[in-house]
Amino acid sequence: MNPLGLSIITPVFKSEMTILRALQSVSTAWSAADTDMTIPCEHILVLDGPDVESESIAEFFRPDSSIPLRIVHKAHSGVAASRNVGIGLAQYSHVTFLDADDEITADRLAHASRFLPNALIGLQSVVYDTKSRPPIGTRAQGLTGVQPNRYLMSLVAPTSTILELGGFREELKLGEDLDLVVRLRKLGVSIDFVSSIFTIRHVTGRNISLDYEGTKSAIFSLLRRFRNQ
Amino acid sequence: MDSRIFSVFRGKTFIGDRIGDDTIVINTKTGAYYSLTPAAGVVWENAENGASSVPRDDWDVAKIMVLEGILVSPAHSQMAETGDASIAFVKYTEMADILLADPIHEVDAEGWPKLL
Repeated sequence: MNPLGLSIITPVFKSEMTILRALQSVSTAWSAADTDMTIPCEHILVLDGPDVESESIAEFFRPDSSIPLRIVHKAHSGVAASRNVGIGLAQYSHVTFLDADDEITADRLAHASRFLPNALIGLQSVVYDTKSRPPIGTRAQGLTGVQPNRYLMSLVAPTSTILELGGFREELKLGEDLDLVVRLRKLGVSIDFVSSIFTIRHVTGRNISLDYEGTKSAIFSLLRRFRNQ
Repeated sequence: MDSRIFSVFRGKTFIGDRIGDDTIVINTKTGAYYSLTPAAGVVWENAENGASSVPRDDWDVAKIMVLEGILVSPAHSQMAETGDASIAFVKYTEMADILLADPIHEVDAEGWPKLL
């Protein structure tokens, strides 16, 4: 069993415009987390193929990072495979995931510091960096704001449980987050939905979650896979 | 119900996906999803394309779908509880909370996610 702590995993692919913000959010959240104990924490960046600019930014930031920052290279094979590499390298008892264009919050770290045997999923708030349609999974309020709602990829879960499941299904290009959460449920893991914002999600215009029809198709494919299990 | 025409529409909170005879619909308000029988799948497909008049042979199937909310019918108020739902669908609720946390709950006829 890994020592108690949290491994934050960020897949990185052409993320030079946003990676610094993600890195800063981790440091800020860690420093601000209102916990009775200092949560041991690491941030694993998995470079999904060559990305010199993102890596340079991460190396530039490293001395200012509040927590150990690990940079891992792999051949380009997608976000699910990148997260799985991070899970395999995680040193701590729990893992959570942060996309390179998003920000983590102190509330997520505070909840993670309870080191529960079950899974936690929090809310997302959404910030528009550019004019765009709202990403899937969000409830827009006019053109100015988005109502916080649950965000599957804010998941915090025991590393051993995610490893037992085999991590994310790498063959899935969309819906891999929903697939993982459903498999957690099928495994008997309790999933607690927390009414705290775990993620500040940025709409950059490049979000994969803007592929509405693709995601819809992925969800129905998932239901077909699971309905008789 | 005593009418020579039984018209139905897609339930507003439902979305579906049909591959061959295999149709799945999701209630985006409750997170329940349904695996439709082939006959119900045809009724759904016709309703999804707009108001549809149900052939008399499928009235029992369609009535069950209306009572579940999958379809909407002007004749709904005249309908009594009907028989075995398995002639129309199998209902699944074990993933409702997860599906409600997922983007699918924002889907509606105008596309998704839904602007408030």
